Amino acid sequence: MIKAPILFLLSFVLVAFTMNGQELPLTNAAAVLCQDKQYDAALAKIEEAKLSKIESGFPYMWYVDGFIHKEIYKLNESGNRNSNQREMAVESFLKALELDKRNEQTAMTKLSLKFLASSYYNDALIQTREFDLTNEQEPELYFKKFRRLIHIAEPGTSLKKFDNEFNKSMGQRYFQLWQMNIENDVPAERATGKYNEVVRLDSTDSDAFYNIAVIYYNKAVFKYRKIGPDTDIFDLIMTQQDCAELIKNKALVNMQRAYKLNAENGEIVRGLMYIHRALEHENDVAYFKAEIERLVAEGKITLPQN
Amino acid sequence: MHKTYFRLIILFILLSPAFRSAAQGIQSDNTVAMIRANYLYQFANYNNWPSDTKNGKFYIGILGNTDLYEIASAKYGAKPIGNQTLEFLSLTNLPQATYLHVLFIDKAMKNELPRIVKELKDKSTLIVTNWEGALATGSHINFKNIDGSIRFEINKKSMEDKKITPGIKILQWAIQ
Repeated sequence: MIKAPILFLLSFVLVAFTMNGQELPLTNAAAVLCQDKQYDAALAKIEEAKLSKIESGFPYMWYVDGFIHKEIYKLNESGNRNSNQREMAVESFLKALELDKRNEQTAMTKLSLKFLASSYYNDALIQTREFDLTNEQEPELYFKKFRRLIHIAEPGTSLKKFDNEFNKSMGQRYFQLWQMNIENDVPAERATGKYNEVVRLDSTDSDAFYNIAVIYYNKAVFKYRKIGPDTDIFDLIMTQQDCAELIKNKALVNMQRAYKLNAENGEIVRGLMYIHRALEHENDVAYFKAEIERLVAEGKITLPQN
Repeated sequence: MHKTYFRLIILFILLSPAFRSAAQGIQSDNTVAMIRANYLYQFANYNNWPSDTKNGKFYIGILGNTDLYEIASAKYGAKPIGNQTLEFLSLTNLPQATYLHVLFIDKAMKNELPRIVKELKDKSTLIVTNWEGALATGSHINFKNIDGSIRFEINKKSMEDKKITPGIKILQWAIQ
């Protein structure tokens, strides 16, 4: 079985020697240099081709240019999210597609674009692990690039799964940022927004419903933790009204949705137990406590240490 | 071929532990106990006890609710109540030797109320409870849950019979 990159290269060389051999000497020379992994020389040659009025009008020239930049990106800049080589490869492949009215290189060009699209997706996901509120747009930017390119490279691809995975990752990171500074509600609101986007696209995602419920419930808990000796009775009552709204009308509703979708999930059952405890729904607390015991007895969940 | 290659890259990322959408941690705090603990502190602060009980420590006993005891003692233990220092006691029975200024009896121990009321007949101990109908059977202040908020009702007369004067704030915020 021939491996994908080798097949890719073979077709690249095949085109170089058969299709445009007469008209595109500079482009073909660049292609051969690229095949020999002489990328600097290939780059210099393809720059010459760009200056040629004849060769620069061929989609194949732009395909080869994109391919060289892509190879350099893979070789030297694959960990660099700001890689210029990748950007240049994308622009050249898009130019190739635009010029390729007879679809001579369209299939190969789209394959290369798919590869680059996946690299943007990877970068977007990696960014979701480490962004903060000063650079929160970066993962969005890479994800937008992925969406744009995959739409061009493979128009029929459903992006729902990618959208959801990306939004969940973003939501998770916003949640972490909120836990680092619970005084700032902005990350909590952003996390809720991301999870709401997930359930808008997929109303069967129990994790997202659970996470929304946890955010609202924890918000209430953090408010309650501020109650202390200096709290006036009036403030205590007002805090409770705010928290009752969060727990009863927001956390409970979302946790119940999660439970309907995944009744055997220990975290969800435990979440419902805490929420009902906060609302003093004794019968529900007893029911979900019994459910946890059942799930433990059946080996479906393990209780946390401590 | 390339399709498979592309999918493998994506699959690898989605399966890597960092990108599994792990469940976010729900806080396990007992919020009801947090609120009740604050109320107990407010009751101690704003009601007035007879002068002969204003020596030594100000004791609040908690019968049958360890969560409430732990939260109350951690947050309000050792705070001053007038000239006294507040101390919470976790109880399984009514102590014979220690005078309690306040006694909270949890619903789980509701059957104990009649006996306790008898035992405390001659003492200025404020009895606080958390179940429906408790005021009629000897409790002075009873917690009620109204739409997810904990409020309290009081039996002013029975408090005064015990020589405990309800504070203005307590009267103001008690539900009728």
